Amino acid sequence: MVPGTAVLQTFGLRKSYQLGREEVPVLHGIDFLLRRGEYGAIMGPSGSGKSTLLNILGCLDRPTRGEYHIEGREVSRLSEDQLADLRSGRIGFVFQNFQLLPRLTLAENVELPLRYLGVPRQERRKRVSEMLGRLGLGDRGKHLPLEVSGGQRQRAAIARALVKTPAILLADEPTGNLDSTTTAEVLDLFDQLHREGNTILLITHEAEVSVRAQRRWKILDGLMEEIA
Amino acid sequence: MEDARVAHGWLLPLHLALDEVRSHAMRSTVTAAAVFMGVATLLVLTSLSRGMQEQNQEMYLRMGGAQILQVTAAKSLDAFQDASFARSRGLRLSDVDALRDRLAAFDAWVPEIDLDRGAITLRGKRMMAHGTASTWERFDVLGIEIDTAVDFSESRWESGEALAVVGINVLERMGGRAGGLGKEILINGRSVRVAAVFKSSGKMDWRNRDVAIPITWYNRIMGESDPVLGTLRARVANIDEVQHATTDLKNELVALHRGVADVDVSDNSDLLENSQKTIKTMAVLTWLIAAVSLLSGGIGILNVQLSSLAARIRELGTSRALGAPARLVFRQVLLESILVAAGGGIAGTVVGLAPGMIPSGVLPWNLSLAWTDLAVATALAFGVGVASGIVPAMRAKRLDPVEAMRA
Repeated sequence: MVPGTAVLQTFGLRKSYQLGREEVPVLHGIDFLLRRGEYGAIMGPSGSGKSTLLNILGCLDRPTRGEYHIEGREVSRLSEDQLADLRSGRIGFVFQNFQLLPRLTLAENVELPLRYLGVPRQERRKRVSEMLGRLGLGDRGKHLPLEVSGGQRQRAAIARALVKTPAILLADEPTGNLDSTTTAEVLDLFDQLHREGNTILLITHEAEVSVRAQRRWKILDGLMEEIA
Repeated sequence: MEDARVAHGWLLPLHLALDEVRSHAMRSTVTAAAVFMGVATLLVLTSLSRGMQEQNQEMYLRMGGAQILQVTAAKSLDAFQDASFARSRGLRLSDVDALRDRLAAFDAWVPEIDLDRGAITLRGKRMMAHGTASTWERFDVLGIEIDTAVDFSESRWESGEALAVVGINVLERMGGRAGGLGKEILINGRSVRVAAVFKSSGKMDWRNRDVAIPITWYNRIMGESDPVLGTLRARVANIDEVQHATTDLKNELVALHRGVADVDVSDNSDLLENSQKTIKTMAVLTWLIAAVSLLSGGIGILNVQLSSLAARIRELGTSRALGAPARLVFRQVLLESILVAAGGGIAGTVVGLAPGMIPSGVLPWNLSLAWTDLAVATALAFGVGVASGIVPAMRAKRLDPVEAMRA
């Protein structure tokens, strides 16, 4: 994909939920564009609609109205299986509470998306080993998530998101469960990943986290605007 | 944008299911126990009833199959019949000669006199044995085989020598093969030499407690020229003529007994039918026991799978968020149930097959299993896995990843 082309783009994206007979709007027509190689952050308080937006951008949910394009392809009307395929191949998720599978080692957790993609075992092992080494977890691969620090868990989660070389790295409050030192460590890592050419979109309620991003948006009551 | 769609088939879900089952080995083992019990019970009891069935069939054929008719005294049902029966002289040895002359459809006649209880004694003590006085032909007609014999022949038997053939239980009471064969027992107070031993087909063989003596010797010592028979067995030469021959035999007996129908004529198929009925009842009970076990096994798996689903809902949600398609999660959860049930089924099959390795003769009945039994047991275990896994698998498939990760 050519640098600078749209990776994520929405047109008049709306989302509302049915509460009994009442329709409760959450997103009120969001136009948004993130290009390849950009590092963006969406900031907003609780209840602003940022998680709903992230779920739609991550293909975990569908918009009620509007269009959503990933790498130029309209995806808002795709089937469940097609969305799963998109998540599997093109979207790398990093969650606030890591969401590592507790019974799998860090290496097995990182390997999981490659298994879903049907990557052969030898290739999987090679890519997992490279990714763990790149994120400073080369000697932690055989450990279970509970046996390592919070920072290491989040790095493992980032490794899991990046190992399949996604089009976009979507991070939902990636530092929400970390202390200040580890937060700085993880944000440094995002900076480094950005410099390496990865497209990153971060969702946070912390201003000090969002300032590290190249582009920033503020979301409030379902409306979003870019901060200059 | 490249298409990331991958045909996972069943291999990846199988790997993931195996990982899940292995990581909860204890839980999986306990859950599989009921299926194990069901399959093991089914196979052990089926092998037992099949063995009994085969043994009965074999015995039936050895006894001449449907071609042997048995004549026994009929039981009087009321005073009127008592009076009627009194006119007849009953089933007697002389009937045999008369019938032999009149009925050409029969090629063998075996008169049997049942010895009184307590008639057989050893060293002054009554022996628990069933004694029959009969002709040499009985050995052939009933397919009775002799295991060991000393100075034993047709001519000695028919000439009325005081000799006996005994079953192994009787021989053991006499001190075993070495101590018993050639030694004497008393029948109605008269010495009889044990000349031969019946061949036994197992612990439940009715001949083990049998004693057979020559009818000519018995009649002589009892001073009877025309004794009352306990049973008269008659073999029809041609199997196609059994029905006609039975009618003829009944008619001739009525004629010989002054018009009184004081005997019953039946064939061995009645015995076989009765015994098969018992075995069928046992088979039904076997299936009931197995069904209850398998049902409880299935409910156990369903329960454990539903609890397990609730416990790892976040994991499954994460898997879905990471790109695992709904069908993969469905297959994974379904295969977990199938693997647990199959594990129980395989262990049950091994245990169910084990009794078949026991040498024949050790158990009272032979054990026999057919491949179809194994196929049915395997299919049942698999079916339990599918039936108990389908609901959890559907639930897992319908999980909303966002909701599941929040749980």
